[in-house]
Amino acid sequence: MKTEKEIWVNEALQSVEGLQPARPQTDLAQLAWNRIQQVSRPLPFAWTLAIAASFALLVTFNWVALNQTQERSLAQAQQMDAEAGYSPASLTYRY
Amino acid sequence: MKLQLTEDEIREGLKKGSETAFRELVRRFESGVYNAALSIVQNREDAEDVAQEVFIEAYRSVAAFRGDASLRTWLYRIAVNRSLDLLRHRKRAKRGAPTRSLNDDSGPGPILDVPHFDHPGVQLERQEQARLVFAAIDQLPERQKAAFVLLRVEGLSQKEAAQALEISEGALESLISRAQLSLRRMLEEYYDAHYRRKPNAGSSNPQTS
Repeated sequence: MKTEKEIWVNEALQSVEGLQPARPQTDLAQLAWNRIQQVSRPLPFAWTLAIAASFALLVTFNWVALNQTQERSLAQAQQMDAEAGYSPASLTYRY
Repeated sequence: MKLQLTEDEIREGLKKGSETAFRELVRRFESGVYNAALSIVQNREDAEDVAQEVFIEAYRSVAAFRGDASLRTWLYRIAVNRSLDLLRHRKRAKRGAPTRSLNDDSGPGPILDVPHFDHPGVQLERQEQARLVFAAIDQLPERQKAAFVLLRVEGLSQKEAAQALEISEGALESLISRAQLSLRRMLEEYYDAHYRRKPNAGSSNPQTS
């Protein structure tokens, strides 16, 4: 014979079986579809233009900065050569 | 005009980005997905968020769906994974929260001491017991929890539940029997702590004590 406790435990376990399905309180389809649309919507033209312009500026500034560094290094090297009395001719071997 | 799309038509429609197919998918499966999520995460707002995520993920990954299971079990699979992800996230967030004082004299007590979730689909007269069972389900390990919810609460067939969890039916049976043992143990502990007839005590009916 089942004890009172066993009967109670069995009843408790059965209380979650065969539940009435609950309904969501929001329009899931609409909300989810809106989110899908938001993510897949293309960027506005102005945004695309701004991003392209920023990238172009970045490339230009980098190029200018790199050129200036190279020119400065070359000038510095020539100046050091001149101070040391070297010339391109003095650096070649003669037999 | 055709009233109902077939599963294949829904799948093809989703691949083409059709809103009609998406709405049909949600209309047909939202109840199952939402209720499975609700039984696992045990909070209505969170379950709605999870259900939304499930349908968005289904829309995005339909091209990868091979069709070796039905759309229904595929959606349940996503729902279980998303729900468990949310629980893990909650657990991590809790770990960062201030812990209870060691001198807290309320003690840990039986683990079902603070049942908190009322499933809206439970009959009124069974609400108290169902609340305890949901609190006990919440204490189960992830896979046992998912197996118990799909098979016993949602009423999926053994084959569907096994497919949704990507395990064999034998493995599912083992998970269910372990889950039931744990639930019984927790409920018995609760009964002993709250309803057991004390010597010379009054009513023996647990419902009235």
